[in-house]
Amino acid sequence: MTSCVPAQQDKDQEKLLEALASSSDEMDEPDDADKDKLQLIEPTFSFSNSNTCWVCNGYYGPNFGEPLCGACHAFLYNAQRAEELLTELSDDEDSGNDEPPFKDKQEDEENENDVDIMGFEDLEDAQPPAVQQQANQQAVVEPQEQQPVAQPADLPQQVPPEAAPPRRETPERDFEHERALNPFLLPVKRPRATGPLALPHYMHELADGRARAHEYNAASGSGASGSSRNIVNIIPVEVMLKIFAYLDDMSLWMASEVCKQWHDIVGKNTAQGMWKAYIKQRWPLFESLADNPDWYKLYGALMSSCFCRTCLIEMGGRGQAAEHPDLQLGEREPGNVMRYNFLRGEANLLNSYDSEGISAIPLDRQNNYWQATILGPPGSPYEGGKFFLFIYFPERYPMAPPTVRFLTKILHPNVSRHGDVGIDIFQQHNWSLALNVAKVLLSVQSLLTDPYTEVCMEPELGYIYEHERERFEQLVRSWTWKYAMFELISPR
Amino acid sequence: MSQNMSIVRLESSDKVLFEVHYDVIKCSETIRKALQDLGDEDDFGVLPVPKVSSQILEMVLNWATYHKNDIPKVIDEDAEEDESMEKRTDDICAWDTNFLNVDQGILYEIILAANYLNIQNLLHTTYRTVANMIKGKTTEQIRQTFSLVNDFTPEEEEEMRREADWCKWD
Repeated sequence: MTSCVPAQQDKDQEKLLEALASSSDEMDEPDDADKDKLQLIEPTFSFSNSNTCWVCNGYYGPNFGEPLCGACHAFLYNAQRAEELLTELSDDEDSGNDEPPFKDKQEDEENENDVDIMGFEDLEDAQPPAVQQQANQQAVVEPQEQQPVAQPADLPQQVPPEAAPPRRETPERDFEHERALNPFLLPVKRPRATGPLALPHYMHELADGRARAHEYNAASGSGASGSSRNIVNIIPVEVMLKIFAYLDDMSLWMASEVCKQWHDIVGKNTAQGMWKAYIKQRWPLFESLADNPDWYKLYGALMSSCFCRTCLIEMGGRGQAAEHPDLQLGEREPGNVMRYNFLRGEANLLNSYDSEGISAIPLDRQNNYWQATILGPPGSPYEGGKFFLFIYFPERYPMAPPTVRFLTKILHPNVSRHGDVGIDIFQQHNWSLALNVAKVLLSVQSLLTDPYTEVCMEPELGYIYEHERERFEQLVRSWTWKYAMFELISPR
Repeated sequence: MSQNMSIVRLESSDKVLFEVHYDVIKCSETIRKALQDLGDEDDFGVLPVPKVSSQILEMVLNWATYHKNDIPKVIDEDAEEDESMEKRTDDICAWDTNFLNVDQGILYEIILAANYLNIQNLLHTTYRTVANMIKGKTTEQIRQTFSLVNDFTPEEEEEMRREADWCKWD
């Protein structure tokens, strides 16, 4: 080989020149090149750089497949009340439609953009389950309470395969029946959900990015090597079952996705009635039109159809807090009569908008958190889909705008990959007292028909919308099918 | 009970002898039953604990010594449900948190030991500890926490995604 080094170098140089030539060709015809590349990934679509955190590009830690890493999520979508902070920050010149930060930009630009995000984000993010759902839940819990829930310690290790919950039972006797078939069912009533790690946990990372990178690397390294000592191999199934009994519904579902063994444990030892009850609680506006769907899979489908699982887990935690009104009353200033009247009026007003394809209901007694749905407008590629949204009304509402975020995955230039909607009326200085929930939802709905691509939350999508309309509609339709039509078509 | 009864001798899997006061080890159903079965004999020799290594047994005995004056937990899972109490996971006492702040492998062995010795309180604490490691995390985070490998095949993964089956609907 050493003898032909010069020849090799010549070859390399030739190759380099060729590569340069071809790349300059591509530069001349970017559209063609793009099209070729894009056609490969059709009909699926994933955002560029979706394997790292959308905001920090992995600087503060891994994102585990979510749009944001834990630190950025805790910082930007802070679960703590931070409204005073918000009002100060939202006075910047941001129109709310500015481009989201790009990871390939320089760090100083990134910082600027971070501030922008603070501007258009209401720092609150949560949605508790409806108070009225408690009644439903209670109804399902009752039969269960009469029966012993504890699994005997000498529980047989193997779970009989025929113990799988019957899939096509009437919901009412579902649980009793399933319990009769499988005495090891996990209790229907789950413990309260825990929110994801809060900001203080990430302080170290925020102060010094990549501070714990070695930990993450170590963890991923040991995952490959130390597989014989991992929990699945050591802990027997009956012990795992007892541990799962301590998990809330969302954590339980997340755990069921981890590996085959856990998937089996959860699948065989949970009642359909439980998942049904929790769908009611988490998605009160969801009404399945299918006959006797598989509630467990439906729950999984709804969970998977959401933009951000961290947000979902956080919602779960918040919901439980709202079930204890005493705790909530303490932090609320009393006598915000205007806010109360406004929201009461809006709840009533919304009934008259049923025909427009929008609906919303408050989820807690204080009307802080609402869940809303928008039907895809006819004629648009979103037609047929029912998109869930989360609305948070800040303490100063109606003086301050609400936060509106898509829960259901939707492909739209003005909706970020985290579900944030880029409409200028959600800005403090563009918000008007004349606006209300219905008008906000209607403007979001009209945005679905007419995306505004001058400024986009996802410029990538804006480009496709402007230049490849047909492909855009195809992609949007496939996402609508995949994520927004579970009412009509239940998953297998 | 006789005087001798107050000291129980345990032998771990690796043949290490532990002498422990009966009050300490009475939290273990398994040991208590075994002692009952042996009756009131003055010399019942050494109780083997074949499934627990000396390292873990020592830790468990440490735990039992610290908790020997705890009121035995009469309420079990049944009672908890009857009171419609939630299974809380945030009420682990500081000593236990510190005690269980160990390598995952050791934690699992403590669970197995507690399971074998049937020490309800220790089981509850360890269950809650593991549950806390799962709670509030996304699937990928859980995998990382437990160093688990995603063992779903791409096809299963596809099915798990549970996208609406629109071909069927067509």
